[in-house]
Amino acid sequence: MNLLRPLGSTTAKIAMAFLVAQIVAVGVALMLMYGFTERTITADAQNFVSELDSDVSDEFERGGLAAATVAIEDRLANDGPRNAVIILRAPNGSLAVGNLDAWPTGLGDSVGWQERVIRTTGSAQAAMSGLHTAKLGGGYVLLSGQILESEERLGTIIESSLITASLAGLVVAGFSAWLFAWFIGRRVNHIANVASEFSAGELAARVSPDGSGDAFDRLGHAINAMLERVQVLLTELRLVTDALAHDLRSPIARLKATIDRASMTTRDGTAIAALGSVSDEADRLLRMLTTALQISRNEAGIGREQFTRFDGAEMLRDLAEVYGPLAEDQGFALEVAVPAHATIDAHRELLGQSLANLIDNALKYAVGGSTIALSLVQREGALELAVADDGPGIAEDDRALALRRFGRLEAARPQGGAGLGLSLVATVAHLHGGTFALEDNAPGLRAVMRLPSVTPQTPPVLALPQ
Amino acid sequence: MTLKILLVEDDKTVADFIAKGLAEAGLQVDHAANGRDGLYLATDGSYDAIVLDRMLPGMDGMAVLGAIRAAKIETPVIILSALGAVDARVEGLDAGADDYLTKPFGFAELLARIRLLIRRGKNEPAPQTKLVCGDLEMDLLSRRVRRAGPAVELQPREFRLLEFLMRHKDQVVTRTMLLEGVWEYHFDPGTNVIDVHVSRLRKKIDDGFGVPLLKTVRGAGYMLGTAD
Repeated sequence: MNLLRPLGSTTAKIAMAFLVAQIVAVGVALMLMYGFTERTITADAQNFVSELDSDVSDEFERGGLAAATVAIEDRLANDGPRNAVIILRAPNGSLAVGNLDAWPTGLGDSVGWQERVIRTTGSAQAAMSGLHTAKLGGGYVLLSGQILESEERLGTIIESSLITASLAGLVVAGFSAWLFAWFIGRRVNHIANVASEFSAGELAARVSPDGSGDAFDRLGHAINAMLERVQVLLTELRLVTDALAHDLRSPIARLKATIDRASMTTRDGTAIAALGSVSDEADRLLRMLTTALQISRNEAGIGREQFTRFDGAEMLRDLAEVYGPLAEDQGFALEVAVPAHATIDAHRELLGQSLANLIDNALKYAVGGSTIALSLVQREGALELAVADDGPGIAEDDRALALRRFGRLEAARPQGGAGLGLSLVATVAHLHGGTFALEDNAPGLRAVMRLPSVTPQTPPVLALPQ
Repeated sequence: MTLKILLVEDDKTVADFIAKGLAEAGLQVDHAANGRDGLYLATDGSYDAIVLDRMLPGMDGMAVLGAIRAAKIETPVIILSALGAVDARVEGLDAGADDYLTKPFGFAELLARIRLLIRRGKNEPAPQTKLVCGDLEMDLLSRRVRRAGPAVELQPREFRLLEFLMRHKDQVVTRTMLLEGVWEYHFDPGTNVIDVHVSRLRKKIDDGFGVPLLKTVRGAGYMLGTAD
């Protein structure tokens, strides 16, 4: 699982979701903690202030202004770090005793709790404080309060914790997303691997169940059931095509035998000519039948067990040698452009047949052309086998028709092809996990088979019942 | 001595056709209509070659072949099959057959292949350095060809083609046998590619000589030889 893959990947999306969830969770936790702590601190300060207030009020009631003054001065002297704020205002408005230089502007005489920024005597900076005022008697008003410095600090702490926690969350979220994607990816990859092994011809490939009964396990079972079914159908298809081949070929075999015997015994020239053309037609019928059946088998993926490793470059050179004289007689130069060696995993006969079909097609239809070029190029993990001519080519709109089974272009009709040659090539390409395309050779036609240059696994051996 | 062929084939028309043709060619034929009888006759071991149909009632052709080979009977076997798929050919050869022919086939092709198998079985090819056919000589070491003295210049592929024909001189060699023997391909070439090769070769070795060595056998293939 690589998180560096494009951000659109599912893995990246899962990681993002994890990250957001993580940050929200940490944020909410810190906010709750902040609120709770803040309430606790305020309650604490209110307790402190009301204690301060009642202490001074009690002294004032007991011993008047003098006693209250002593209590206040004593309190301020021993206050220490608790940051008490206290002031006693005389009926004439002057401040009798305390640690404020002026009565806070606009502050009432009986305020339950108010937070505002004030500056106490001797301190350099104004600070947020919680204040409480109460009328004592004889026109005196007492202000008691506490500087809430610690609360401010808490805010800063919470803020920096939030940032730290977010960073940590980022790492944790990334890791858990990776872990999560890894667990899911492992199961899904296994299923995907089994599917591609199967389509590559390893018909015995099955998803190994983990027995958990979870969604992945059930997916695995469902896939296995499907593969089982496909395997049965393939086996049946193979049996049917074999039986069909046998049943259709046998009458043609008898037909050919009869023709053979007849032409061996007769001396009648007309009869011999007639028998000859009947024999040719029987051969044509047989060829079509053979090709049609081969196409079905290719499409079913039957024949992968026959893949061997050989030199594709050598095959093209061989074909050029086989077809060279014929091409020359028909006015074509047959050129070969291949590397010294090109290892290929393929069905040798089918690939040979396909390339022969393509060369044959070029010889038949590249009317007016002068060159047929065979080439093999290795590029981007694909092996490109091409047969190109400089004849009239096939118009882009007609190419699909040319590839269709029994599809023949008008130009091809006089040649009497069955319209199966190119379909066979296409299915052979598919059998090898590749593609087949007709392209513009400007001028002419370029027929290209693109095959995976290296098959992922060693060619699997199929054990199908005969 | 008359060559004995065992024919195991259930299709009556095809069996009669083969049996008659082989008899006319001077071979003695025993016919079995099913796999069990075929195996029974084959275990006798006295045949020069066995022509075995692949799909048989009772006992499948491949099973018969397996049993014959398991019994250490090395008689050359040629499989006849209506299974046209290219895979079937390889399976047949893997199972111990010496050759494989797809139905329908021309009788000449079958006869040519049977003769080839019998000859191959008879004389183990001693390493030869020189092939001769009439006044045509091929030196395999120096890769030179002479006809009645003067050297004949051949391209490598023409040399290989002639070598194959000379190794099978006086035998009919079909077009598919040439494609298999010279280029080791088993597909259907579709057009007359082989004919062009042969006619070029013929020009080089026969033109200007009174007696042609390379003859076309109508409906079958070619034969290199001095006989008519």
